[in-house]
Amino acid sequence: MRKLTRFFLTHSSVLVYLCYVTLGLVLLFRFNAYQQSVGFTSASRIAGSVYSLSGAVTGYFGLQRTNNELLAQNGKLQDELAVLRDAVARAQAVDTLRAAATGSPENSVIAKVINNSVSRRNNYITLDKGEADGIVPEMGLADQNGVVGVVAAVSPQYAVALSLLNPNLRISCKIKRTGHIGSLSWRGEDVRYAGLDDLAAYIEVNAGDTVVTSGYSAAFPEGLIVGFIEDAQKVRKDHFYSLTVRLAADFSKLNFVRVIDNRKPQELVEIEKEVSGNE
Amino acid sequence: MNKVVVYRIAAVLLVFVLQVLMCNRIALWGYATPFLVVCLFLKIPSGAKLNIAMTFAFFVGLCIDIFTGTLGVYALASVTAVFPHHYLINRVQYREREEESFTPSAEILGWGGYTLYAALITAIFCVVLFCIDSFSFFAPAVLLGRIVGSTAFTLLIVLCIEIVSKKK
Repeated sequence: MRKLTRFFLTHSSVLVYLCYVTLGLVLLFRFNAYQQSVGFTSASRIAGSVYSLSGAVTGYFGLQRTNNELLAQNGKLQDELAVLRDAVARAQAVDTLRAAATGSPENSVIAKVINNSVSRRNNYITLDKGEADGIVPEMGLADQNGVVGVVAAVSPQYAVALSLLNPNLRISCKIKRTGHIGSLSWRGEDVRYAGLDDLAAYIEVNAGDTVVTSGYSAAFPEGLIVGFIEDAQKVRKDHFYSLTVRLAADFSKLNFVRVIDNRKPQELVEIEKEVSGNE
Repeated sequence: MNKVVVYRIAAVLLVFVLQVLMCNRIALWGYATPFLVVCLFLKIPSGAKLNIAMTFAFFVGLCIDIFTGTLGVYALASVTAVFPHHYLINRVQYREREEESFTPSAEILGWGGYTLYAALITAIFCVVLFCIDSFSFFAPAVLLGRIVGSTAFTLLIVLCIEIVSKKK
């Protein structure tokens, strides 16, 4: 304390000078508009620089948190984008499939393929629509190119269909140009081709002839494209002949399908059952 | 009342009036303004307490500020000019007079010493005054011209007064 007092006494003139300078500056800035304005501007500039520097430093330390927030936000936006893309794709597929179904009398439900196998011996297609959407077993499946399968089982929210690439599925088809009936099934080999069997020996076909559904089954209406004759050369199989058909649908790119309700009237079903029972 | 004190009060009042009413209105070639008030600071005795000297300078400057409408400008310049007063006297005075109190003059300090002492005090006063007055370095040449011009003009007057007072 004594040293402090001595210090002040020794340097009293400096302290008095600083006091007068302070007083003078107060008077200067308080009563002189020009100096006040220049001082305020300079002070603002200095304060701005200091705040800018401070902001840069604190901003640097806050980068980690900002980065985490941005990552979270980015993830959220990616999710929203995926949902929106899915919605857009669904809307486009619906338009395409409805355009393909124009003129058909049957009712149909648009469903998304959520699982599809092509590499197994027995292939199946899983749909994101089920019983709650009006899907029942034996309804047919077609995409914008052609027939792809038949519904085999349904749950309230999902449905599993036999793919056309399943040897257990046989579809009644006919050659569009001649009207001759045959039975189409996959041979378990190339996913692009299926066999059209039970053809009479006398019929004449050309390569490229269109194969369409016959309308005899409950799954499909008449005239849905199934594929095209690949080779006009018939192969003898038992007492009938067989042809190779290039399938219209690309099973490796299935995305959305139309589930076709072509069920026969209950009365017709009962009569058919009765006839079958009498045999 | 002591005759010397009356004489000094009268001198202060005279210088004050001359500075406010006449000198502040002079600007030779737009640059040189005489600051007669510096004479008061030059004549502060060497033995005077520096704190009292600064208080005197501050209030003299403040009085001029009040009349010129530049509150704080002359006060700051005056205090700053007086602050190194004792230091400068000690640098220019003869060594044998070191312990005595005296009023600085050409007779005591010699013309060279007094001129140097007066030039430094005047220069400090003018630098501070013009820097505070312009408060920016927007036109540094003009600022420098005013400082140099006013310092030279003031110094000339101070030396003239010194010559006249010496003859009397």
